[in-house]
Amino acid sequence: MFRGFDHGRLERVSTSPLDQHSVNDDTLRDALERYLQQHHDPRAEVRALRPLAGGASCRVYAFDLVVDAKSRPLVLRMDAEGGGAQGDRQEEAAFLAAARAAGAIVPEVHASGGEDDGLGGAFFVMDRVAGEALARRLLRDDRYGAARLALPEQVGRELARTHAVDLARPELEFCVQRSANGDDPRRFALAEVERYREMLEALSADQPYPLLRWTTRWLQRHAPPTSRAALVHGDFRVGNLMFDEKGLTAVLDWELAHVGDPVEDLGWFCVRTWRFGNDRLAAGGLCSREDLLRFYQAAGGSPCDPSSLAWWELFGNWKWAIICRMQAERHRAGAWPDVELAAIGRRVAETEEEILALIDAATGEQ
Amino acid sequence: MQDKPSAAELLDALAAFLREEVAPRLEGGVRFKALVGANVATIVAREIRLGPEQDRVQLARLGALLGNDAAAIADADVAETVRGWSWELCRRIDAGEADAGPWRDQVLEHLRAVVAEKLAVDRGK
Repeated sequence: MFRGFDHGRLERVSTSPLDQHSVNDDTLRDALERYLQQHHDPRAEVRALRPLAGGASCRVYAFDLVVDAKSRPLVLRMDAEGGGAQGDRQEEAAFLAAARAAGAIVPEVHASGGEDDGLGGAFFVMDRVAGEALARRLLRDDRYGAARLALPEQVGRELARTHAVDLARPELEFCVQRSANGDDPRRFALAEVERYREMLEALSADQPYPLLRWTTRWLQRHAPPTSRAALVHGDFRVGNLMFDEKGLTAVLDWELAHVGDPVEDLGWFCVRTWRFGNDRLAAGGLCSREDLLRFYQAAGGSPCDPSSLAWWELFGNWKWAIICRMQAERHRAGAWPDVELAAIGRRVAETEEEILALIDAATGEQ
Repeated sequence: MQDKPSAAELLDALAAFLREEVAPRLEGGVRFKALVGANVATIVAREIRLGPEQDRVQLARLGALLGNDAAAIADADVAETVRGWSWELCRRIDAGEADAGPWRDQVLEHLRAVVAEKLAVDRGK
């Protein structure tokens, strides 16, 4: 419906044991084993294949690859039948490989295949990293106190490494070609606004959103110039960080990566929702905006104008409001009937409240 | 006219049942969804109690912003007129009329009040 764009995985908690998987898991296990025997090792055995939380366009499974009695914990990510853009998973595998080559802490990809390789969709296989990714636990549990202290510097470093990825790498050619071109230094900001403005338009058929539309114009009129083109993760937030008691173990979910303004990732990390109530620390509930920028620049990130960060943070909240509405529409349209998705539609208001506060801060009112 | 309990009172009972009796017996994702369900029932109960008055107030503000006569709108038409006038407001916003100047400030004041009204229903106090 929205060009294959899907934010099902934005709320990890939204998958439950009741979710239906139309793929028969035994059939999938056999197909995966055959593929790995042909392309990896003829002795490969797939054991304990089981579904993990995923979104509507992506299925995620854990399994153990056993070769000669040696077991290796792996994850299979594959496109859902009929959901998501074609080839999403192969693109995600390319982003993971490019990020890993730049030194980012991401799972290693061991195999990837297309939709004709017998599994029922494009897929890749990567290391299963130890740790967990539940943001609420990270921000609240006593056992993660040391991780909370370590993460701001690690986050700054991972963002700097991501934005240092060499865009000339051949596996990234597809996304360089796709990126906004031209001479306008504001082109990345304006292209992102346009992408979500179109979604808002499509979602507005039976409800007007005057504040979101007013904000669209504000964003267009104040779009910041890009410092430089970089690989942007596209969904860099606390909920996509894997961590253990010591800190970061991996940055996950690269399927929305694209070429853009690196400040986009910094602003998205500061969106209010990802703080889970810890509003005192604007950057993911972990540290201040200033600390995030300090760690980012100490790790080689380009200096960032505070007004550019403020714009991207405002953009991020506006985008999140539109995504909330889109999630509710997936329920309303019957694509994924779910009380939680339905309820997310009523979270637009709290995000609008944040937009108003950020507009006031940006224009020096109140 | 239906018998008591009122619709809002029935939803209060449903929310309390989900929150206090169902959720504690469940775990993980299903428990979370039971709590979401309780919250949904609470939101609808607040909307039933606050909605009509909020619509009247919004209609009056929109009338003042757009130069329309809110007093002439019958109670039965208030909700639909708020929607229609909000579309009119959107069109004028899209045309740039609220980018700057005194009307911008009035529009933002209205939108700020709308957000507060939505939050009174969606989040409560």
